[in-house]
Formats: sequence, structure tokens, C-alpha cells
Amino acid sequence: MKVLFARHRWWVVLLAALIGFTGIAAQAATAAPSTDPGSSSAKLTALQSGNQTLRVGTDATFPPFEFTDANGAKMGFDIDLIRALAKKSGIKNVEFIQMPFGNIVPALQANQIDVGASAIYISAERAKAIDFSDVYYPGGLGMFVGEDNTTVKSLADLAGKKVAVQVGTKSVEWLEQNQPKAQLVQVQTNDQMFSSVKLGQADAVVTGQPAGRYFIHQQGGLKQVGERLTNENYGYAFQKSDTAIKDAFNASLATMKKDGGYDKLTAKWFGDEATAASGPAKAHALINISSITNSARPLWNGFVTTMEIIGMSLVLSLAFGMLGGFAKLSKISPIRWVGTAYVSIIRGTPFIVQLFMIYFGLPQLGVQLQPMVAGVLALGLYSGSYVTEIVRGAIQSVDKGQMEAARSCGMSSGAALRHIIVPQAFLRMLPPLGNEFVSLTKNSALVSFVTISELFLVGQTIISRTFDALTVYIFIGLVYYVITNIIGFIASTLEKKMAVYI
Amino acid sequence: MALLTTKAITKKFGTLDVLKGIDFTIEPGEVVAVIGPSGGGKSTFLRCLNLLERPTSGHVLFDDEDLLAPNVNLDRLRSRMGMVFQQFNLFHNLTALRNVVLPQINVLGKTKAEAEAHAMELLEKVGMTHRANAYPSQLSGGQKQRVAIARAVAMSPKLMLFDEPTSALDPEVVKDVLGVMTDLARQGMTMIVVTHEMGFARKVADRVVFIDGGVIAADMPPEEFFGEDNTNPRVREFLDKVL
Repeated sequence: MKVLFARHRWWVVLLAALIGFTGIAAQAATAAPSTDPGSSSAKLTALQSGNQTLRVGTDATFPPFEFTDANGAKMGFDIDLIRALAKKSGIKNVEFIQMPFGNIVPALQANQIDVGASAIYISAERAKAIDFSDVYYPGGLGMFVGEDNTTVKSLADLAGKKVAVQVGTKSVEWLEQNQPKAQLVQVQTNDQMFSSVKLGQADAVVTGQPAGRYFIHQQGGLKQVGERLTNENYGYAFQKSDTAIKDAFNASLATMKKDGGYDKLTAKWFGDEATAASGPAKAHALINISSITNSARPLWNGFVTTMEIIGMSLVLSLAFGMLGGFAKLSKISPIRWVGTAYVSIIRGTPFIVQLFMIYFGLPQLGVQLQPMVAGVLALGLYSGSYVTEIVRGAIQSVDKGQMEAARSCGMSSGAALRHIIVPQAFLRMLPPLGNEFVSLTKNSALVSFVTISELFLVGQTIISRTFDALTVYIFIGLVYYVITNIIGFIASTLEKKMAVYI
Repeated sequence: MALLTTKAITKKFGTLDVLKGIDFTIEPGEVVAVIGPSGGGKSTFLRCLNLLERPTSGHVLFDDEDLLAPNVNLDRLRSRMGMVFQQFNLFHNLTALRNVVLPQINVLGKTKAEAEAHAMELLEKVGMTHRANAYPSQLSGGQKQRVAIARAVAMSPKLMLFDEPTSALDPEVVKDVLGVMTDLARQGMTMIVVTHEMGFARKVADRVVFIDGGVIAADMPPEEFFGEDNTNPRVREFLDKVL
């Protein structure tokens, strides 16, 4: 096999693929955020003319500031206020982009978004990386416990208690400094904080007072205890270079505070301060099919997105796997090294690290990818490293007499591969490929971290509104179960069909 | 004019000298039986003729072309040299018919209809038309080898190389395969046959080449080789063992 492969120039194929890839990357690249103030006002002009859309990053799992309704539309105080401020500033198009709270500042730095509007506290630490608007709402941390809890009344009582906090928020840092004896339970989303107290996984929640009160207003079962812990203020976050946009928003905010538009919005979302501090639990069934049926449309959209992601990354994975597999079989050492390095690096590091590096890291090198492109690329690259080994193993397992017989008839090594070796190898690949694509399907839920509204993220936003974690996760689990079983079925059917000659 | 000539070919596998300088010639229409003890270099010699193994040094001239010259079109030259393997090496993923058809289409550029007509003719000659649509896994060893011979002959080669074609077969089907090879020889095919079948060498071959220790130790007509007058001690020792 060694001698026979030598004459075929796999490196040409590999090189072509690499050049193609570089081309895509270069196209996807946009200029890194500039610090030139002239470009800032140029951007504002483009936004006002409607040529550009204002990209607003938000984690819509934080009622009443930002959350998602049954039809998948974002709503809340921040959403309304940003729309009003943009309109007052003459900005025509506004687009809200879903992302985990912790990703908002990196996304601003990477020029993935123009504004962060997600109930962000103004802090000196954050202000090093991004700029803040003037205060648009006074916040501050409050402490919340179950309605029957009588042991926690003050900050001191939190010593040794489990306290639920949302990862990446001010609460984490503040508790570490002011009540280091509290055991922090760090959860991803806002609703998981309150749920963990209701489910007994935590004794208390420390979070923004408006959010806690909104939960009590909606769901009940919790009460606020003690005094307001801190006195921070909420601000909107901007890229350091976007001073013109920030100034325009500040001016509009001042106007709205004077003309009554601002007061109307606070009344709409926060209601009457006096009645909001406690409330009895509202009756809530364990399984609520309505949480699914009411959100059929966004769930369907999420499902379609998930299928698109799986389909595209599966094709990419096969392509990377074929290239990698043949690279590893190449007679030419440098090409073999590339194949070996690819497998060892990609298979040897966590998928989530690769995904974040592609989406949040590459922009620092001037390569900015759409979330969907980044997600599919990361999944394809990751899965392709496993497919590489599957391809290599399957091709090596084909009897070398097959290649010799083909070459002795005068067939080229390419023709022998195409007609004889690869078809036989493909049959052997099918069972491990089926396994790999089942893995890929399950990993696709992780691309929700780069703001792709696929099935899992849609589920999370439904939970943030309905608090029906059990119902929604069972449903989503079932959908994945069906998809992975269909893949398994296709693989085994294909295998039976192709195995006629065995 | 010789069809194929080798000049001083050697082959090393690592530090092992398998061939130590072989000069060999075959004329069109000749049938040469290559015999000798195991490990003597017979198969390596045969595989050097179509460059499945690349000789370490020396020359292989076939049809007036030097196979080891740079820029030589090896695929074209190989298509004029059919090869039959001990382990048959039929393409597992293709039926008997497709095995014979694919190289004709892929290498000779025949149409599917031409290739299939020619393939069916040859399968008829080797008595395999009734199994034309069977996959190799459904055929017996003797049947596989007959299809493999048809596949090689279908390329209309000038020379056929046989690498121990009957060694992996059950004794009762060896005769079928040797019969097919004898027919080919009678039709004037030039053949080099590495074999342990002394009967075939004696009756069908024009010359017997005895390879031992990486060199040609004897090259003569079969009647001389197998005759009482052959006093070569290595040949005698070998013949005493196998006959």
C-alpha cells in the first residue's frame, strides 16, 4: 500500500482545501473595532440612515428586564427602553441577540454586538473593558428565601448556607467579599436560581432586587428578607470606541426622564413597590403540557435550527474526516504530521473551549464569524477529528491485495480508491460513523452558548418564563432521543443495504 | 525480440537481500514456469516485473520500455501485463461480472456494453457464466481464481503473470484452474507462472526457471530440467523433496 499511495498526490487535495478554508475565513473577517472617534460617528450615521442595524446583546432569561414570550419575542423593561431610546436617537433598526449574560462583555469587545442591555451593573471592573451609559435604573442586590424559611433574616445568617447566584453576575463577587462563609451555588440562568430555592437545592438567592420581586409577583413562594444589600445602578454597555452612540443614548434618556416616557415604562414593568416583596406560592402542576403547546412555534423553529446545524456540521465533519484520514495515510511526512496534529489537538481539548475560541477568540485576530458559522465550524472540526481516525482505520483495514489487484490491471491509485478501496472502507466506517453522528447531535446543544437559538436554547427561554424545567427538559430530551435513534436506524439500514457482498 | 527482459535486478527488504541480480528474458508466446524452494525469491521476482515491488537496482524492460525510467506511464504498461494472485484478490464489493468489466471501462475506456459482452465471452471460456452476478464471497476458491484469470485476460495483455495461482485451492479444483491456464497457453499467451505444480511445469512450460537464494540457479527446457541428466545438486535436492 505504501508504494502505491506514493504516486497519488493527496497533498494537492489538502492544499486546495486549506486555501479554500483560508478564503472563507478572510471573507468572514471584518475590521477589528477601531478606536477612531470619527468612525464612531460614522457608525451612528449609518445606524440613523437604516443602513446598519443596532445589534443589542441580551440574556433574555431575566424578567422583568428581558425575557421571551410564548411566541419567541423578546420583551421586558430593557427591551422597551432600548427601543424607545434608539427611536429617540434616530436609529431605525434594532435587533436583539440572545446570549448568556457572561458572554455580553466579550461579545462587545469582539464587535459581535453594539450594545449590551441585560440588567448590567455599572462596575469599575467592567468599565475597563467597555463603556457604560448613564444610570437608567437603580438596582441593588436583595436577599430572597423560601416563604416558610424563618432562619435566614440577615446577611450574617447566610454563613454556611447555600446561596444561589447566577454565574458571571455581581452577586458572586459581592458575596465572596461580604459573606465568604456562604456556599455559592452558581447556576447558568436566572430562573435556575429561584428554582433551586424552591426545590431545596439552595437556601437563599442573592440577586438584583427587581428580578426577585418580579419572580414573587409572577410565581410566589419566595419572600425578600433583610435590607437591600447594595446600591448599584444599571447601565447599558457600549464598545469603548462607540462614544457617539453612547452620547446619543444618554441624551435620549435625559429627554425621556423629563417627558414622562421613562416613568410610564417603570410603572409597566415594576408595578407598585409596596406589594412586591412577598407572595404565596401559586398552584403549579408538575407537568404542564401547555408550556410546550403554547410555545410550539419557537420550539419548531429551534428544532429546524438544530436539524440545520446537525446537517451542515455532519457534512463538514465527513469532509474534515476524509481529509484528515487521507492526510494520516499520506506518504509525505509533513502532511501526515498535519493530520496527526489535527487529531491530537482537537480530540485532546474540550469542545466548549474550541467553540468559545472560535467565536470569542478569533475576533481578536480579526476573524469574526456569524454564530451559526462558528457553531457549525466548531462542531464539524471537533467531530471530524474522530471521523479522521474512523476513516484511517477503515482504509487501512481493507486488504492490501485489493489495491495490488487494481494497480496490476493498470488502474491508477485514485481510481482504485474511488471504485474499490473507499466503497469497502465506507461499509466498515458505517457503525462507528453512526456512533459519531449521534455524539455530534448531542453536542449540538452546546452551540446554544454562542447565541444560536436552537432547540436547547429555546427550551431554556421557555423555562425562564414558565419555570417548567421538568416538562421542557423531558420534551427536549425526547426530541433528541428521536433524532439520535433515527440516525442509528439510517446507519444500520444503510449498512444492511450495502453489505450485500459480505 | 524479447517481450520482457530483466537486467541484474536486486531487491533488498531492509538488510535482507531477497534478489541478488537476476537476468531473465522471455520471448512472445513462451510459457515459463518459475519454481524453487520457499523464500528463494520467486514471488518477489514476479512482483518486480510489474513493479508491485520496486527493484532496489537493475532494469526491467517490457515492450521496449524501461519500467524504472522516470516519467514512464506505469499504469499503461501494467495494463498490458495481467496478474493472477495466490489469494485471488477479486474486488470484494463487485460481482464476478463487474470484476471483469470495471478495469476494461476504467483503463481501456471501453463502453459498458462492449466491456460486458467481452466479459461474458471470457466467463464462458472459464466456465463461470452461471455465477456472473455472484459476489466473490459467494464463490469457491476455484471459481474465484477462474474469474480472476478472466479479469486479467479481459485487458488483452501481452504477458500474464501467475503468482502461485493454485496454492490456496482445494486439491480437487486445482485441475480446473490448471486446465484454464493450459488453454491460455495453447492459444499462444506469453506466461510466467510461479508454481509448485511440477506436472504443469513439465507438460505446459517451454522453460523452467529455478530460483534459489535470490539467483537463477537453472534455466532450461522442462525435459532437461526434470531429466535424469540434470546433476545440479540444488535442483536435485529440491526435486527429491517435492516429487
